[in-house]
Amino acid sequence: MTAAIELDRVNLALGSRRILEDVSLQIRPGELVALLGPSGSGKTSILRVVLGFLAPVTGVVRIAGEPVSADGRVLRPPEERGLSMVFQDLALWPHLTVAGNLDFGLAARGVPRSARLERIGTMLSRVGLTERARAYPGELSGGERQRVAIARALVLEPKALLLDEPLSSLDTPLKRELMLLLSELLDEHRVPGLYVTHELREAAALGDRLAVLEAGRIVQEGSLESLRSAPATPFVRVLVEDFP
Amino acid sequence: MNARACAVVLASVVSLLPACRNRSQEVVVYTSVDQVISEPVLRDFEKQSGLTVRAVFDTEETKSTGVLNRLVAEAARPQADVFWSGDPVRPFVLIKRGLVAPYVSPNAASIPPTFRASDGAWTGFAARARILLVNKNRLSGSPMPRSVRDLADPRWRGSTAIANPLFGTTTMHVAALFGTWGEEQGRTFLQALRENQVRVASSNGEVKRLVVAGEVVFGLTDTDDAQEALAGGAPVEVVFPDQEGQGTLVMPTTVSLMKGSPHPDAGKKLVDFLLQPEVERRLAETAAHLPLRAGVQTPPGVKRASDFKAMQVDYARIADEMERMQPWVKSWVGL
Amino acid sequence: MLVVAALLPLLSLLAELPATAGTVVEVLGVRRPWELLLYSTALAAVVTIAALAVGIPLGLLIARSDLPLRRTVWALHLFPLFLPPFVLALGWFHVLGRTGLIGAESTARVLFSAAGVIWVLWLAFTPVCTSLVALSLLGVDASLEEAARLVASPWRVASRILIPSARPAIVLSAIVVFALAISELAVPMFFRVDVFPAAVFARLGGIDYAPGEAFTLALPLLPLALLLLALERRFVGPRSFAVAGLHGMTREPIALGAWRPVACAAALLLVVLDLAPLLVLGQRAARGGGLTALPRWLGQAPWNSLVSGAVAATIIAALGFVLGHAAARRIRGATSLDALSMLAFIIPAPVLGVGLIAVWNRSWSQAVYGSLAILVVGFIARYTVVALRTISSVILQSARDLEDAAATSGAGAWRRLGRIVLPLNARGVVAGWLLAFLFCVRDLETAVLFYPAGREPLTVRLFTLEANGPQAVVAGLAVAQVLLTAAVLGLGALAFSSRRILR
Repeated sequence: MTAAIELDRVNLALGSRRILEDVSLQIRPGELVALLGPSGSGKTSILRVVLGFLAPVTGVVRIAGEPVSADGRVLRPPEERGLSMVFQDLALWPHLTVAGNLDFGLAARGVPRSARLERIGTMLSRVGLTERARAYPGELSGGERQRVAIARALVLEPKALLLDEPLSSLDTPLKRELMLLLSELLDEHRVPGLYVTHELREAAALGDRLAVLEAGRIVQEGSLESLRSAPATPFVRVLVEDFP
Repeated sequence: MNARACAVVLASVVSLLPACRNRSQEVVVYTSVDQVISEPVLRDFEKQSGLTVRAVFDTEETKSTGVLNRLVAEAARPQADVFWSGDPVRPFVLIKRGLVAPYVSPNAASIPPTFRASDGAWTGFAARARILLVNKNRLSGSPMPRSVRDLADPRWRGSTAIANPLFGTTTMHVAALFGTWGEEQGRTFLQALRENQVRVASSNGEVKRLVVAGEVVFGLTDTDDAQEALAGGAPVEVVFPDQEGQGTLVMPTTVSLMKGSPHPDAGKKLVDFLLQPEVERRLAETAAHLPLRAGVQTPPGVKRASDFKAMQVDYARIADEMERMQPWVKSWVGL
Repeated sequence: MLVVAALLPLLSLLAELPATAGTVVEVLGVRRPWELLLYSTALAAVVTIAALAVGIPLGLLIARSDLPLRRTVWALHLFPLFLPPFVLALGWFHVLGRTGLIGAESTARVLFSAAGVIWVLWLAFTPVCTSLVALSLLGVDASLEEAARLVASPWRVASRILIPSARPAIVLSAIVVFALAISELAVPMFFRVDVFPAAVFARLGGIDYAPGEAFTLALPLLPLALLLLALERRFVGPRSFAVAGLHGMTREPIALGAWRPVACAAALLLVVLDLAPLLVLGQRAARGGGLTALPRWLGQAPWNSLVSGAVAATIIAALGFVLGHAAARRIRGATSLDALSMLAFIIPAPVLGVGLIAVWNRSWSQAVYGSLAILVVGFIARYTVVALRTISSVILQSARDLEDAAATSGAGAWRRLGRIVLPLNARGVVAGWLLAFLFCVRDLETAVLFYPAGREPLTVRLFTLEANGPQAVVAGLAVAQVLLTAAVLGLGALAFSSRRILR
């Protein structure tokens, strides 16, 4: 089975600093991989490499089997990769309404107007924001903005969904609510995904598989149990220890 | 949105294009005659002929060279129809480069032959003369200077002035002296001026100012500057130098038709207009320019060229001399 | 692309270079041009230092102190920047010249010297420092300042925290003032002071017309320009200047206390110095009947100024937007274009003019050359950098994520620019447009060389008539230029206060 996203021995350096070292990761169709790691481990960089904003120095990035970055070059620019991302600070466009935010990507991809309206309507009702369609992001609460960000990413029916610590700014009750929504949506749409976080709780709840990133290397991959029973490094041990 | 913005930009740019302008009804003139003097004359022409005049004027600081440079720079595609020069020598730069179209105007016949080219490459009229402007108060008893050589007279050390010989009519005058006296004597004279600590002002207007203020006793300048000083009530006197010797240098303003210009017929009309005796009379009145023709009425204080001894020069030769002496004068000035 | 306007003239001059290669030694081997260059550099340096000396404290006072009528002082102080310095020189001539209001022989002598040039240029360009410093201080994070004010006296806070934080603004303003001062032509010519650009101009003059030589003479300016650019990269570079709004001015200012009367007096003096020449010009014009005679002498000139300026500003804003965004986001090639536009700003006007004539005076381009369009082309070449820098600094402030999100959603580069970057930074683009427009209306040196016959802008008309026109009329024309500028600024201020743009 071809992987939805594949990183094949990717190396990334910025100047003399090594960011990613020999990273190989596969995200199979329908699965959500949770990438864990402390800040500064290179989590956001992996996302930017997959999206095409950074080119790996060596190694290949493939999407659905097709190489999109190789030989130190970006072969396919970000707008042609068919991926979606929920950014850490959400990156909602403040001058567009909620509906407008969802409409932007669809219009850019040439979806005809009637189809766009239908898809937006369906998605908004799914996340419970139909009445807020005409509101601007500045007028929404934190949780509502989060839902818009997720809706915007999924309405595009992407090949894969990337999430960069999407719940980090929320308080616990809200977090739980949104985690539930996310996992439902991901199941419904059967979109493969890469979920980056430093919170084991979220990773364990949402991910089908965990991967741990430490100082630019993937040090262990597998289920939570496998990590618990045989932690590969002291960091992994500490990580899974905290989880009851 | 981008397309709309482009359309707006294009539309406004197009609106600038002279598409709606009636090109056949206009004439373009570049002039180094002061705008204050030339503009009214050109307006008169507009009224009389019904043509629109588009003019480019020169500034004091770049007297006669700014406009000239532009004419040369635009040689590949001439923009000007007529060049009305404030002195008779600059046109030769253009004539040499083949930018002038000879045209003998019917109105040129009454102008004395020394002041025009026989083939009509340039025609002179309404002139200025190079004179000594003397501050009577500062003179206090000393004899009145009578010759340009007096500028180098040690009696007047540090109290005389000339304008920068790299610009304007002073260039011409120095070249005329070089031509008449010979190069060696010319250089000696300039060296003597240096030794006599002559003040090199930036323009003839500045020389006039220095004399009027009494900062120097006398200076070499033009008749129209002198007339200004007199009109302003300054205690000055005008001396036409070298009347017993070589004569006073006369510099007519000249007009030339430009080759390959956009509106040659309109240009000819303008040339004919400028060469009318009436215009000479007008310029004598408004700008103290000396008429070259005999019999033109002048206001008091303004002479006619026939009233005094004029220096005999070949203006074409002066042009050559100017070019020859240029490097040396540049070093004399210090640039 | 549209970089044609800036590139071609410089390229055409470069093409002439091989032909005059032999003369390089001859031209540059003489001592005089280097002396002049040194002199001009020294002059510009003095102006820059003086501008900083006043601009930094004034900027601080305006941004963060409780000086009364701060905004008014700022506005009045800023105004002369948008006039051609030649107008200011003319005004001071009427104040301190021989026949001036408080003039005498001695004051005239001081005025018509290097001191006069420094005086006028300092007054004209100090607002650049004041404004950049003030804007930078207004954008400082409030918590940084508050943390310091908890432990130190206000003046310590000012000198140790605030002013160092404005270092990029200070460096940038120094660079801008230096560039403006060194390429200024009209004021030194008016005060009969020899400077380097005038020497270049003179090389175009004399009997022999030698544009290649003129360009050769201008060559030494290239390393200077590159040095300025390098300084800018090092000290200013990727930092931005808050054009976020003037709210900071009301945010708990530092109390001046005992220093208040001194500061007030100083501010008042400055405002008087800024406005005096303009008022005297008005008085001269009115007294001599210059104002009543104005309609006869104005002709089409104000219209020419406004139209050519507006069209040029629009194109400049568009160019500045695309290039400014590229520069802010470090897109490849943007740096060299940025450097090129900076070079076109510093290079002496005569050199630029000659190149433009050489390129655009061809049969196929007559429609442009003989009309106002050539002015537009000249303005674009010279002033694109103004909009570029303004817009780039605004874009630097805005979150990059928003553009990345758009890219991920499938929007190509142009769509992103038009739908996301432009709406979010509209204020910055309008500011760039306005600034470019003001620079075009104020321009003299660039236009004077190739303005279309009969279609001169107001500044050129003023300059050519100054030589021998009646003083009152010349003063009247200067007043017209002042009013024109004030009108443009007024409209600009209105546009910025309009809600639509604030959204």
